[in-house]
Amino acid sequence: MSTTRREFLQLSAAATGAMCLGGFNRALAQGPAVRAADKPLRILILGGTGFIGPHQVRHAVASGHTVTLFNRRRTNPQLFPEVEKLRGDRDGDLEALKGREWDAVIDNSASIPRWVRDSAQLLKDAVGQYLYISTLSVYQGFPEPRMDEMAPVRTIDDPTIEEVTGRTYGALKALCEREAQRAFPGRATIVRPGLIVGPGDPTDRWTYWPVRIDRGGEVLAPGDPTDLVRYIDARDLGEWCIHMLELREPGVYNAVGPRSHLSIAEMLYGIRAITSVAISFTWVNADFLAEHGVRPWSDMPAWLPPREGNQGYGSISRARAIEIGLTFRPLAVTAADTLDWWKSLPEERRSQPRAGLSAEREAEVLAVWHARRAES
Amino acid sequence: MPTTRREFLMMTAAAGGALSLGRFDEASARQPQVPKADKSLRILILGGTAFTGPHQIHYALARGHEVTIFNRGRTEPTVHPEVFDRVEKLVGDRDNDLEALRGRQWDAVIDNSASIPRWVRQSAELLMDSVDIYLFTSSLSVHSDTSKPGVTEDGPVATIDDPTIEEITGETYGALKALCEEETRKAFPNGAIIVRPHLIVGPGDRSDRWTYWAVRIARGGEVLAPGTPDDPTQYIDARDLAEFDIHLIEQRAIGTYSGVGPLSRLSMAELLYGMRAVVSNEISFTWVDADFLAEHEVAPWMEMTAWLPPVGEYAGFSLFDNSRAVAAGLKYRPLAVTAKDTLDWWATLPEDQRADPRTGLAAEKEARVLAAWHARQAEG
Repeated sequence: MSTTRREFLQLSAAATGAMCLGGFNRALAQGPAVRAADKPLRILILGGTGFIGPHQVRHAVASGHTVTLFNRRRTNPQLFPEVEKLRGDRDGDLEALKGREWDAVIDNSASIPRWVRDSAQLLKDAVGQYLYISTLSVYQGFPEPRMDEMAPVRTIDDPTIEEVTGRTYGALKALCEREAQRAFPGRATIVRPGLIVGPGDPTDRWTYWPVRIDRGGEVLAPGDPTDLVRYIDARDLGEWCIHMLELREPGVYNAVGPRSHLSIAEMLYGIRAITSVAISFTWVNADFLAEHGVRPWSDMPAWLPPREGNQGYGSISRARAIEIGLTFRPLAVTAADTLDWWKSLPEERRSQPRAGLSAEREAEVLAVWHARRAES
Repeated sequence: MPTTRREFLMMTAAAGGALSLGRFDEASARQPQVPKADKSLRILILGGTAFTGPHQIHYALARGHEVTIFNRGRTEPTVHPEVFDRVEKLVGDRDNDLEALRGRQWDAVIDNSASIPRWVRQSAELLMDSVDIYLFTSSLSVHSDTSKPGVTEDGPVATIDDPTIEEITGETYGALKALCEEETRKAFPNGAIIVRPHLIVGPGDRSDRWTYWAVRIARGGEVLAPGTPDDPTQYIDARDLAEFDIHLIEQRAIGTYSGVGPLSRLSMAELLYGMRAVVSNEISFTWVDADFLAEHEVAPWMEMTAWLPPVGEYAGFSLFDNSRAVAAGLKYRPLAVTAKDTLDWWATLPEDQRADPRTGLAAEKEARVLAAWHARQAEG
């Protein structure tokens, strides 16, 4: 698929934004023309005001659907004044959902099986389809290239554990999937996104790269340039979720991009393409990074060395989702919009990024790397 | 990310409005506020309708200058056709008919169209008392030694035994351009600006060279990539060049400049992967080394455009120093913008023209070479 006109508008507007030519262009970047759906749906979104929710809401509303939000009204309560809002709590207060009917529900906000069980059981006779946002972390690992949705998922000895940690997260999400499927047999859509990125990302992980590259200078690049990475733009994910409701399509889907395999070099050089700074990349191998305490993923976001059960991390199959309509914005659009959004944040928020290598540590590690190279 | 209803409506309206605009209104919409220059200048452009000319005119008008173009009236511009309604047009011929230029005055002349010293001599001598600045668009091909990285404007230039030769070939081009520069400096000892571009690229490029990569990558599939991923490459977006030209005139920045980008070293991998970033297709790159390409008669530069193996006399060909131009105000659009705009312009060209590109590797030949490469790899 060549780039469409719509993407061009987004790209050029976004890129211009990155060149600091003003806010008009940013508006352009975020207002793609949306085709009205054939049949308007009533959609309930559990959560909806975090990171991916707003993209779903915007796309659903633009497509002519009617949206209801259910949440505690704590996160971004000012959002979407025109949308119906029900107040409650996933954890013990679902009263507001009783006696209502919707065509579909999107569950963005559950990491604990009990939460999914409570809402899915309550809604199973009043809602046609349950779309649950799971995660690629449900898999036991990525030991093989091109693994698909049949790969084994994590398990947990005590399924009543509700403490979400790095250890329990994947297994609990897998149990959440089962709760959704149990209450909605043949009517559950399980979406397993990879690293969700783009404007609004609260984790600062993928954001690290556009921000770092826009700063220019010598950039520490991790591992081998050919190591594969993956991510999904939250807007691509949000639009596709609504698409899956329009199709009433059940099933389990890896939701990750881009369309074809992307190396870390292709990603970083692609992000470079949206800037015009003086810049160079220094590739530092995985062993050296490990030796110097530079962590994959949290320090070097989106990157995992292709070893120790992660050999297939970047090549996990996305064919099933693509076949049913998952599309991808160009990398340059995601990067430019993310950078633009970042620059709109308050100074104090930007001075405390939540992931990525600090400038000082990066300089330290690079200095040691160059010293080591000079010796040998 | 908070969005109010009003913002949402504005976005939708803006997107809807922009969607109904013509392609190159988009390009101009992206530079909505080019500030006017402090002083409006009268600028004469010799040529003006080919590749860089329309971009110079577009920007000069945006800066509030008055533009006159002088040419044979034969070339139809494929970019910014609308600006030609806003310029004065003088008809003549560089080669032997400069009558229309007599008795007129300009602040500056831009000479885009001369590769023969006699042409520059004639126009420069005719204009020396009626024009303050003569900007000559030369070429980095004037350099006689590109065997080392970091060549500056002070590097030696090519010479030719017989300076009256007017036949332009690969052999004579650089030396003749160097003589053209000399004619400029002779007639305008205090008013000569010499700009030496590298490969000029972007919307309107009639050579199809750099365009090849943008178009090839947008087509997707397995892309043959030349040499090593780290081989250097350089280019300059015609719009960056045009804006730099006008800027130098406004600043009266007399001197010689290498017009080359991007700002810092760019590898072939950075170029090609940067272009990949503007599309979202099914694609992979296969890097084939220079020896294998030579063996299979894949030509650097003409087929593998923007690439010359960085060895021997070309070791510094893609590593020209740009610091003087940057200090004088040369700015660079992001690669993604150049690539996307080039693709978009390409799509406006007639089908038959796109079917018969002037440079780049033909799809059949690319497939053949890739097959041979994979066979060789399988043999080990």
